[in-house]
Formats: sequence, C-alpha cells, structure tokens
Amino acid sequence: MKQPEHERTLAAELGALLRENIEQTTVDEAASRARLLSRVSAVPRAPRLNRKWWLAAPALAAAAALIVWWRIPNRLSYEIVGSNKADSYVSAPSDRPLIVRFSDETLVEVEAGSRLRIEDTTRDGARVLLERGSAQVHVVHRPQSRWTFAAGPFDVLVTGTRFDLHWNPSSEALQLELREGSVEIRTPFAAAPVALRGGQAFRADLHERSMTTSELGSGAPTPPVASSALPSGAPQAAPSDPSARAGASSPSSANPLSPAISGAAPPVASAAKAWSKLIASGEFNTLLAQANERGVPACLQACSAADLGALADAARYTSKTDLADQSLRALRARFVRAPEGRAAAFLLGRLREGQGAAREARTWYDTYSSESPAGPYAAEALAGKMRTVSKTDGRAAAEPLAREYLKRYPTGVHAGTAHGILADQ
Amino acid sequence: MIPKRTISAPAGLARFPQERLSDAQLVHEVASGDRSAFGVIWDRYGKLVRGVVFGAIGPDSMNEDLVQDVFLAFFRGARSIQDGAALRAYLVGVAVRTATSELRRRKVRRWVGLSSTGELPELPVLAEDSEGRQTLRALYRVLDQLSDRRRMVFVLRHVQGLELLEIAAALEISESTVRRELGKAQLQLAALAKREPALDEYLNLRDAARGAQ
Repeated sequence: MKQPEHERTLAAELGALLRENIEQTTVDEAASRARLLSRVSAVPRAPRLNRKWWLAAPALAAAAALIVWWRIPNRLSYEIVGSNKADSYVSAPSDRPLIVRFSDETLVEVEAGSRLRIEDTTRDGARVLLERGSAQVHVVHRPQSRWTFAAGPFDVLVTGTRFDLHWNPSSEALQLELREGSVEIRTPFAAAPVALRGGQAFRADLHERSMTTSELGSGAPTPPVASSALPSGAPQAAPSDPSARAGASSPSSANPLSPAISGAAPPVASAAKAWSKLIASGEFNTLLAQANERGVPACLQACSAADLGALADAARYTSKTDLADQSLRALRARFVRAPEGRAAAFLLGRLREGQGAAREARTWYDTYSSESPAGPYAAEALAGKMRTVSKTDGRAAAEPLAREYLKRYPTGVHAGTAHGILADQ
Repeated sequence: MIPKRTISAPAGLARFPQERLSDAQLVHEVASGDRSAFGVIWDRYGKLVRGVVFGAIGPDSMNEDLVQDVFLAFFRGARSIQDGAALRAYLVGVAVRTATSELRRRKVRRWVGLSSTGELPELPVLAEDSEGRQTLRALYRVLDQLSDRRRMVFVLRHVQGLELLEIAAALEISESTVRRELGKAQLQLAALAKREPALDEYLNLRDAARGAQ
C-alpha cells in the first residue's frame, strides 16, 4: 500500500517544517535561564544556614516554634488505611481499593486500579488530583472546609459532601455523581463554574466538548448547566450571564457545546465494545473477563489478529505474562505476515527481556528488525538489541549497535544508553 | 591509573561535575534544595520542553513563560518524584499537559470572544519571509482542526522525534492508541493540507526537490 507511506512522508515533512521553525526561533537562552532561576529563588525552600545566620538562631528558633505551634495542629494529616505509609501518591492495586483517611475524618476511597495524588493539605482541606480511575469521596463538612478534587482540566470545589468521581484520561471523560451536599465544578468550557446539588450527576467529555447533568437514578437529563454561557459560534452570552451561574436548573433550548450529546449521560462502559476500544479506554480487566468468558484457548485458535493483539496488550498491561506470551505466540503462529504478527516478535522480545532471558529476547528483536526494518518498533527493537547484546556479550560488543542507534535516532529515548556504551569504550 | 592533579578550575567550569550527574542524581539534588542542579536540568532539557510547547502551540510570545512553568512545576514537585531516572519522560508529560491546557484555554477564549479571531499572532521568526509565514500559518490552521491529543501525538512523533512508548507515557495512553492516533493524524493532515494552498504548494515543492535528487 503506497498511500499510508505517502501520508507518513507528508506528516514527516510537516513535522520538519515545524522543527525548522522552532530551531530558528530566537530565544535569549541566558536571559530565560536567569529569569527561571530567579523565579525559583522566590520559591521557599529549606535554606542552608551560614555563619551569620547563627547569630539570629534564637530568634529563628522562636519563629520556628511559633510556626510549628500555628501550623501543626491545623494542617490536615492523612493516612492510607492498612498501610504505615502516608505517601502523597496513592496508587490502588488492580485487585482492591485503598482508603485515604484525613485527620478531619474525610474519607477518599480510591478504587482498584485508580491513582491519585494529594497535592496539598491545609487546615481547612486539601487539593487532590485524580489522575486516573474512580474515587468515592466523603468530605466532612466544617464551617471553613475547602477541598478541591482535580481531574484533568476540571476542578471540583467542595465544602462538605459525598460523591463519586470518575476520570478517564484516555477518553478525557469526567463523571461525577453527587450523593449529598453541593459542589461547584470549574471546567475549561466556561468562565463560570457549574453548580451541582445532591442527587445530580454530571458528565463532561472533552472530545465531544459536551457537558450534561442528570438526576441520579432517573437517568433523565436536565438541561445543560452553566455551559449555557458558552457560544456556539453565533453571538455569545457573556460569561456573567446569570443563566450561566448556578445554572443547573435553568433550562436551555440547545446544548451549545454539542447538540448531539445533550441527552442523558451515556454509559461509562458497554459490554459490546470491541476489544481494541476496551484497550483504548484502559478497561483491561473487562477485556480479560470477556476473554475468559469466551474461553482463552478457543480465542487463541479462532480470534482475529486485532483481538489477539488486544488480548496480548491487556495481558501485558496487567502483568499476566503467561497469557501475554500465549497470545503473542498465537499471533506469530497464525498471522505472521499481518502487522500484529510482526509486532508480536518485538513484544515477545520485550517480554523475554523483562524475564531476564536476554539471548532469547535478542533473537526476537532480530526477527522483528529483519521483518519490519521501518516498522513502528524499529527504534525500540534496535535499542533492545543494543541492551541485550551489552548484557550477554559485554558493552564493547554493543558499540556498533550504539553507533547505529545514534545515527538513526540521535534524539531517541535510548540515546543516553547509547552514549553511555560509547563513553565506556 | 591516572595521576591526580590539583587544578584550580575557572569559574565557568565550576558546574562541570554536576553536569555529569545522572538524571536521578540531579532530581535528588533538586529535591534537597540544590538550585544549581536545577539549572543543569534546564540546560539538559530546556530545548526539548521548548520544542514540545512551541511545536504544539506555534509561535507566541507567551511560550517561554509556559516553558518556565513546566520547570517550575518540576521544581515544586521534585520531592514527590519517585523515579528520577524517568525525568525526561516526566518533563515531556508536564510539557504536554501544559501545552494542552493552553490550547484549550485558547479555544475557550475564541469561543467566548476574548480573542479576536483566533489567528496566530505575528511570527517573530519569519517576519521577513512572508511566504514561509503563510505556510506556517496554514500549518497551524490545519493543526487547529486536529483534536488536542492527535495534535500532541503528531508533535511528539514528527516534530520531536519521540518514540511510541515515550509518547504513550507522556499522554498516558496505550501504545496501540498512539499508533492509531498517529495514523489518523497522518490521514487528516494529508486531507486538510490539500485545502491550504500555501501548504499544498510547499509540499509540492518538497516533492519536486526530492524527485530531483
């Protein structure tokens, strides 16, 4: 097929045009560096005391004591239930949720496979970033409570409430089901925040540029919320339009973002989804469950190349190496000339390398390189060969591969490894 | 064995040893409050981050602020970085998020009429090259029609030359999604470029030049 190659070349040409322009862009490097370091200096960090500071030590100690007295009793602390650690980064394993308990009894249940980061705590609340997946939140209401739950470009502002929050960074879809209380949601779509009350659900889709609310349980949509302040290309409502504020109850005749999406919030997952779509949306366990229902041995013998590739991906992403190995071998056995079958050679190489079988990995990388010299994993396969040769035959033996890598991919992600090998010679 | 020598290094070479530190060591130093290590990281990755931001957004006087924001975010979060060896991927990820947020902000500003036309500002680089400027404007008009994710995939792959795995990590998507998005971006670019005379002409000239070689 000539057409994809033509399009790839065209995209590369356009990329080169941009690259040339970026390279020609005149930036005062020294001034920029100096400004950055100056800005960094303004960021408070623990200073290193020199001699003259010792003279001020008593005053500093008193000030520190004051700060400690003022801060420690007030700043919320938190713990991960069942763990003796209090990391700010919370990554729930794929088979069970984790619960974060704050010192004001606020609870955040991080669902299996989900990740969040506690970016900051204050005496009145915290800022929590949901990176991926779902969290059930129960914020204990206090007079001054101020909590922010961020997901992608959305900020959910909370004073006291109970809600479930879901964020899928792949599809850039946010879903919030508010059980009690009220929240405001800042979105990239509008200057005014969206107000939500208990018993409502909110869904936003960045791809579709849509926002909808619906009543929990009924599934019936309510009209688009504060996004009604948004224009549709025609004359626009001002951001200060009253209908845009706390506007969950004000009806609107048209969804300004995406008329086609103004109905009820679509279901999060569909059982009938193609496996490749499940992979795209990160639903690896769903895919594996469906494979088990269908019967893995039968699938290995009868599934299409695309499904086998998706099965192998899901198995790799969930560390089920045996299943990944079987799927990839099935691809090799049944579809060796298809793109999936060729890619399987590289993926088998990486699987073997991860298991410490460097020689076998190298063989697979070789196979891939000879079958797909300009394939999507060409750089990775060459780097894999460089690493495995270095491991089995020594760094000197890997030198030609390091040179070849740098020649073909001078700014590639493995350029540092290649430089390291050459520096040793 | 190399004999030890005592050399009084000129001031300009004082940072040399730190420049040889690995990424993980530099991150550790920055997390401990060492601002000179931070400068080394800027020297090492400033160009990469600038490339991602400039490539995604296009010529704009605000870009350098965004580049600085990426590094400030790293400085503030250095203590929470668990794998310092993945610094490059970390910075690319932050740059992608920063650029994507900026793109969205701009779209919103266009929608609500805060920006007059949505046109690119005057280009500082190609100010005297009106033909080149038109081509570049046309290219960014084309890129504006891609989804943010697809646009970032194109920039990371074809402008920055990143590999699929690195792009997948930066965008927090699977490799297969990157491949799919890349394929769609290429198709879309090919179709849209034909509708932009300046871009079409530029590509025809490149084709002709390649054919003549």
